[in-house]
Amino acid sequence: MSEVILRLHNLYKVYPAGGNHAVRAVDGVSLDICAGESFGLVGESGSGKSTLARLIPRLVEPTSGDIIFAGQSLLDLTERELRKVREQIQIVFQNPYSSLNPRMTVRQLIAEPLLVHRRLAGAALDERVREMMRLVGLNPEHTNRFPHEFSGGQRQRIGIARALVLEPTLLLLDEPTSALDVSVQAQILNLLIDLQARLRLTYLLITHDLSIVRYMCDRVALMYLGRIVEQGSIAQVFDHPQHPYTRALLADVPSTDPDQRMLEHVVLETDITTAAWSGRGCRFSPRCPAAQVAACQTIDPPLRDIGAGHRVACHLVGGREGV
Amino acid sequence: MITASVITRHWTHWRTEHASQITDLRRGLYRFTRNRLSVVGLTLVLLLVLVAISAPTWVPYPEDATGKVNMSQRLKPPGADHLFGTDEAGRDVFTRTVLATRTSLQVGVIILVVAISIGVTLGAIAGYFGGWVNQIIMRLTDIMLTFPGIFLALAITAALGRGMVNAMLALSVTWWPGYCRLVEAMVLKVREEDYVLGARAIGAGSRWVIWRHILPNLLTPIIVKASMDFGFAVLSIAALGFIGVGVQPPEPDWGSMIAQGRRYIPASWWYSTFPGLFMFITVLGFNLLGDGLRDLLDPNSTVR
Amino acid sequence: MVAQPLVAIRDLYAEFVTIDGVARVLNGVNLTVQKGDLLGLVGETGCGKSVTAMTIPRLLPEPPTRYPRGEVWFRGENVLEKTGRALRELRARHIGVILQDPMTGLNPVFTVEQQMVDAILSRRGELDARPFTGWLPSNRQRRQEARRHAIQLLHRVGVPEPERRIRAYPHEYSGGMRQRVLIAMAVAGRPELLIADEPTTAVDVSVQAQILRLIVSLVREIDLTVLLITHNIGVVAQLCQRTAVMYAGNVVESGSTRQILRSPRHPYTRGLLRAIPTDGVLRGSLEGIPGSVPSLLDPPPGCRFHPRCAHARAECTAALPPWIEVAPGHYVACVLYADGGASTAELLR
Repeated sequence: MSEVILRLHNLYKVYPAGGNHAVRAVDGVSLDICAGESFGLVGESGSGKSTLARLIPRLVEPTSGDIIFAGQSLLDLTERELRKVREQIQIVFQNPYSSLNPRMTVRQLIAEPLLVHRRLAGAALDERVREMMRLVGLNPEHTNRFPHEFSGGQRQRIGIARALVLEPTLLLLDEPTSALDVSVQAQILNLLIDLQARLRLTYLLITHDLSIVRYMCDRVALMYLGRIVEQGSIAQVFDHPQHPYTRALLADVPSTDPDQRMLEHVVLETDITTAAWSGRGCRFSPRCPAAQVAACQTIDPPLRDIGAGHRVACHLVGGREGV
Repeated sequence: MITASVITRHWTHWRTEHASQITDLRRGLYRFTRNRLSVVGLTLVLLLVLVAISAPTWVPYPEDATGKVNMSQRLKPPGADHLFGTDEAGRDVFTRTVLATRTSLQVGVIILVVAISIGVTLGAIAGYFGGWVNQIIMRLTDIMLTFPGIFLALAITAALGRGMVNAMLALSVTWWPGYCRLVEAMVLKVREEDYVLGARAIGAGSRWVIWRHILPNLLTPIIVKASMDFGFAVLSIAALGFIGVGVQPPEPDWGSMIAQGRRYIPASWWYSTFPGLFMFITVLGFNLLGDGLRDLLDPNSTVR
Repeated sequence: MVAQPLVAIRDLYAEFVTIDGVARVLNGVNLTVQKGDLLGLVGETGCGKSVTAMTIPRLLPEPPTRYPRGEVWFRGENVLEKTGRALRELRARHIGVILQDPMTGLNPVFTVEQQMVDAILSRRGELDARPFTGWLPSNRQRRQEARRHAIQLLHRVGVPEPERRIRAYPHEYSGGMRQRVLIAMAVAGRPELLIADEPTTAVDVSVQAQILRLIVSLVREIDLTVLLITHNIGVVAQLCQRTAVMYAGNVVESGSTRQILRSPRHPYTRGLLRAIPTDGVLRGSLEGIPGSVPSLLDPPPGCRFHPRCAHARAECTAALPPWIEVAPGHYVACVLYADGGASTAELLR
């Protein structure tokens, strides 16, 4: 396993709200991402995955915890030093329609990072912009067009080009294909795989779509209400899921095989809000279909290693595989 | 021969390079021209601007605006000599009305430029930085907004003395809070947009983000508000002139002309009527134009 | 032998008049829905699936929508020829519609009770639209009865504690719950047809499974026919016994779901299925479909897929492809199958 490029240590983001109800968007997340790997972060609504994506480059300030990138704690940095580090951590956003300033041409959009950091200018800048467009599969003749003249998939390519122009080491992909059609999604995913190999990038892929993670990632972590509930390699989590939430999720995704009738066995019966977590005990217990023990109601299960880097936060899972 | 082909080549190149902007512009013009009233507004405004710029060269009695008095010609009705008749000092009402257009438009522009400069700067700072900076600026704005414009203008001119410059100052002071509020609200909204987040994500600082991403998105509502405000600015200047604290004689001003002409209604009806008519046309023109621009530039109708 | 279908769309052409020109959104759509079917209408952005489905209750604004050619038969009558009262009757009594986004489907300023009662009465034709008539005894009685019915419906669709929750405002419900309320409102009065436009796209996976199961149970219980629009092949595989695939304004393939998923014939369908990351797909082996969806303002002539098709031929640009039955009940719109088999070898190579 190569060196750790990003370490999140006990990261919290709590939004104070009215009365006693603070929103614990990220509720104690610790994570290690190694250089060159593709790490998938899966979560549904309310899981906190998008907040986590914004915490990492400190676009949103964490309430507590630490973010260590390439050995350096990001929390110690001044605003100026932070802006420098941001060259290394770039984000590709979900919505290719709203994440690009509609009044800027493609050339201006891709050139902006270079201009902000005063790396290039003039003819060298233009050439680099064209080079980036070729890299992501866009026609370099179209630099003077506006985003709305491109299709969704092409806009996402623009977003990727913009994120890569500063030659970052870590790329945060926040639902990069959710707003795209399936056939376009396949193109973009293949592009991302190709770019990772060519440019030796590290990916943190954030999504709700388990099948994409299975296709693209080496390791995966599942988030639920701000915490990681299961983590491990793709084989470990997908073939031997331990946490009841993971199992339910895998079971409830509609299979494209018409002979695999799964609607008969819908696992999760309730909603994330109607079966709300009281704040004590395991956060999944109100919806958990498994037979629970007393600890489930009183103690928040810690994330424990059950072997070979496979970690689960559940009282029902012992220190061994295959419960 | 050589230069012609070089020019053509450059022109074609520029055309293809900027094809998108040209198409957008064309589409915008098309949409604008479909609204008859906006076109009327635009025409009126263009005519007024043309008149204002060119007036000194073709008015029949330019000396009537600088103090010349011609008692033998006083209060003559509209005729071949004097299109709009003459006032009680024998001055040609037509000349004075047309020259007042120039004054009014000039003053309007200056007022708005000053008001917008102050208002947009303060509003952008308040909106982007939030916190106590926002509180200080916006509470100041609130205070300014509680004063009725005309009274504030009166108070200022009373303190500083009458005259066009002081009137302009006074009115600028009353206009900037409107822009500050507008800009603050828009900045608060634009600040949350994904592409602003994207700019911060690539490491841009506040100044870059404000200049590059936030301000350009404010242009539209500011332009719309300014064109609609222009009519009211002209009206305000006239109001001050009517009271006597704005433009001072012998400079021609619609407001003061209407005020003086009151005494001679209905016998010498032309004295007040024509300046009033011009004022009406100006305000109408700018309002229609402003309406049309708002429909045109409204972000909800961007082309997909 | 074949009973009259509940819905029969024949050769439907639809256009949108826009500032930039006329968008030809439907290009000769043929679709049949038999009573009791659970038909999945599948396609990507801009294929016209929503337009096709929303034409049945004529819910698209006309203008800018126009239908220059074609017929839409529902219960034996051509919907395109209906107007005013007849149309409203159709929408109230015979068709229920669920839309994609449950967050905006309910009016935030009214309670769930008010909206459900309005819906129930409206579907029965008993809604008194005159203002300030709520106090009239006849209206009060109707509303009370409708309220009881609404509570039953909420219970039926799986909303817990319906007597208490019915008084709540929509924002107090989660997305999944709201979708259930909307489903309840759509099936109140037992319409014959339910049109569900991407009903699970905006909700979590777990909620999606619950909603789909709810739809299946409703189908059985009140003999509902469902036209389900989606871009999610998994949903179609699990829910629908019949599927129609659309591309850029045409139905390109239709048949039983098993036929379509196990032996897809149209190049687009095949490309689409190859682009889906299913279990066991090796990294790097997903294939997108090159190119992008054509502009509907200036669509390609003939078969609209031909610019992206690896098997395109001269005939493809000349005219719309023929509608060919390649297996019982399995139809494809592609010239490759016109000569009955010789070309399929080429395709499957």
